[in-house]
Amino acid sequence: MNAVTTIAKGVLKELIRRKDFYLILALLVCLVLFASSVSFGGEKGFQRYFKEVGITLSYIFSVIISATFGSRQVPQEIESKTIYPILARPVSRFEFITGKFFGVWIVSILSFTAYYSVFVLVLWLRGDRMTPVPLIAEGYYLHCLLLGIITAFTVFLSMALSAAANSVIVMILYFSTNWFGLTFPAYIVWPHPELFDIKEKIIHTQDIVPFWAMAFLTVYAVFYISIFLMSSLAVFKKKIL
Amino acid sequence: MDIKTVLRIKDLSVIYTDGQKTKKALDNISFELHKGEIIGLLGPNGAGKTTLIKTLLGFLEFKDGEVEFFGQKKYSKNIRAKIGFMPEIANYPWFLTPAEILDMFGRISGMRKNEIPERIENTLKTVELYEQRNDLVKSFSKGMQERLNLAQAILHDPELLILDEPFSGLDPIGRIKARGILTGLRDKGKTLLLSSHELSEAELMCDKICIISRGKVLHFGAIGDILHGKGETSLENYFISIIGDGK
Repeated sequence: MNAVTTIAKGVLKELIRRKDFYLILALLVCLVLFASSVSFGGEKGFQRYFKEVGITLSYIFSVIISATFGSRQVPQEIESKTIYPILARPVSRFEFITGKFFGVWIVSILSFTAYYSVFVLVLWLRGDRMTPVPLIAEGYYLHCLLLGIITAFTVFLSMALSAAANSVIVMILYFSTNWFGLTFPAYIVWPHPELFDIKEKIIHTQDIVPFWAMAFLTVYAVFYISIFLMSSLAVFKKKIL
Repeated sequence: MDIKTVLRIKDLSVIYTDGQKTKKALDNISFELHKGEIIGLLGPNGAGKTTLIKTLLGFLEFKDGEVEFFGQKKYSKNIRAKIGFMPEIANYPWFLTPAEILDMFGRISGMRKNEIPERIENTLKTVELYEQRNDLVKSFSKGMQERLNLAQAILHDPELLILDEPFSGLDPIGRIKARGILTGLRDKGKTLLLSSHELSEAELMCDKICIISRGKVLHFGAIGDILHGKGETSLENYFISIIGDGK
């Protein structure tokens, strides 16, 4: 467990020292402030439009962080040869992959927290008191679960793909499945990101998601995370380093 | 087996499969390392030195032969905690400082939390990077990266140190200092296995050498036997005489 947390902490330091996170945060702040300064359709119309823009941006930007960080972790360690002294230590390949996964997931959640907070803060400052806090919290929680699935899938692809190819494929899959849906047979086996997207509920200030549905989605996410992580490990165990 | 035997390799063979073709990367390699020895693994490019090291460290699988560390066939976590490995030219993350990198290696090596800071300080002083302990690695020269590479390998005070081309990237002064550190470790009873192209360095510091070519051991023995017993004037002459053109 010590090895897993140590490796995960390394990924966290990467987030703090790299410029990616700050650049995206600055871009998001600019876009959110710009969106908040536009006025049309009355106060109700504005809030709907602003929620749509704010949530969409925080979703997309956190997925970008997850895909870019997740895709480069393992290839970067192999290319720089730092994987050898790590795995020569009492660290199993399972611990290495798990540490990288949790590190990237935490990094994605932290980024999303920052991006989502900017949106919620500006929404609150603009006088929105109608959107239930539990609904905003549910939106946050469900997207964190989705980031777990995306991270695990990205780590899996990184066993075979370069960082650039991996990021592009993950982004394409995210947008295509979330926006256009899936057809048979992918519909059966592939995870459904749209299940974790309750943006419409937040925009139209609908009822909160019932507990049983939240519990189901948690199990659903854990199932896919486990599948992708186990597949990553199966490939990584056989990988000639 | 002698209790002082740190590493025993017996009839080790590694076969690569590339499509239809199979290539024997290591062919019946056998030798032993004893406590307090420095053994130089010498050979031309593609001889199998790095393959042997990767096999010993469990990065490559082998079907034939035996490998025993400290008298045990199982390459357990306890065994791995006693081994330090320095790969050939590793580029450590530019966004970390040497102190942070060594802290990470200390933790994954199973060192006690309270002993890590002191060991980091001592190790950085040994490799002369203490002044730069809080600088980001991105500001480091190639030689400094190599010293950091050595630092991570010796941090947890391993019984056996495996080094792949430890002198590459070092200037002459850096080499002299690295040689001093490595022979100092030998004097403390540590065992070292190092692969190198630098025959002069090997001649100066190794107790024994293992010359391999095309995956086979061509010579294994004490340096003194070559220079005195076989009447060679230098290790380089002997190396060339048995390797030929290396093809």
